[in-house]
Amino acid sequence: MVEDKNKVESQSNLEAKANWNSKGSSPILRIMAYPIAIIMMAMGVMTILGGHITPGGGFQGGAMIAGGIIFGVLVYTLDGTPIKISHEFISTLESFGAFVYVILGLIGLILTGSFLYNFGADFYSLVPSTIQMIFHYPDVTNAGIVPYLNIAVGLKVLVGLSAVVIAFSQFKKLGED
Amino acid sequence: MVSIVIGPILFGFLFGLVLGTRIRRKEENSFKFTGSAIVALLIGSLLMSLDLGQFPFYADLPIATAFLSAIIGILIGSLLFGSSAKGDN
Repeated sequence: MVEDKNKVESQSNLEAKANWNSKGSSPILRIMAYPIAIIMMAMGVMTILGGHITPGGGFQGGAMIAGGIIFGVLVYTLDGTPIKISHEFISTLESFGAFVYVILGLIGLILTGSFLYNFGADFYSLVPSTIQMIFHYPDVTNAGIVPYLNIAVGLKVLVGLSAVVIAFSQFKKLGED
Repeated sequence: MVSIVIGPILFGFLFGLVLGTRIRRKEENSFKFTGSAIVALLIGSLLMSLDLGQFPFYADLPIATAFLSAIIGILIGSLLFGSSAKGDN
C-alpha cells in the first residue's frame, strides 16, 4: 500500500519535471519577453556592425542575437516561441557564413598571395582599384572587408548557439519517443 | 551638408530582414504584435537609439542608425515573411 503510494508520487514528480512549463510562464514574462527578444536581436546586429570601431564584433553580436532566440525558447517553450528557427534555416545561415568568410580569404590569397588580405582597404596598393571599390565597406573608417568578416562570423555564431540550446531543450522529448 | 553613412543602415536592415523572416507576429500564448504594438516598439526603439548614440567617427546623425534599421528590418521581415515561418520541432 505504502509502496503504491510512493510509486504514484514519484510518477507525478517525473511528469512535473518532464513538462516543467506545462502551466506556462507568468503573464509578465509572456508579455515582455517577445519585444525584449526583438530588441536584444537588434542590439546584436548593432554590435556586429560596430565590430571594427567599438568593443564587440561578430562573436559577441551573434551571441546577443542567440540570446534573444534562447529567451523566447525559455519563456514560451520551443513549440510556442514566436521565433521559429528551423533546421533548414540553421544549416543555410551556417553554410553562408562559412562560405563568405572563406571566399573573402581566398580572394585575398588569389590577388595578393596572402589569405584574408584586406583588399577592401588595400593599404599596400596590391589590388586593382575597381576591386577595392567594390569590397570597400561604405563608412568613414576605411575598414575594408573587416565588417563583412564580422557579419559572416555573426551569422555562424547566432545559429550555432541557438542550435545548441534548441537541441538541449529537445533531449527529453527525444528520450520519450 | 552632412553625408549619411550608409553602411550600418544598409547592412543593419538586411540583417534584420533575415532575422525577421523567422518571427511570427501573432503566436498563441504570447504577446500579439498588432499595429499599435508596432508603433509603441518603434517609438521605444527610437528613444533607445537616441540614448545609444551613433558609433564613434560617424558624425552624421545623433541616433544609432544600425540599431534602428535592424529593428525596422526585423519588423518588415516579420510582416512580409513571418507568417509562413515554421520550426521543425
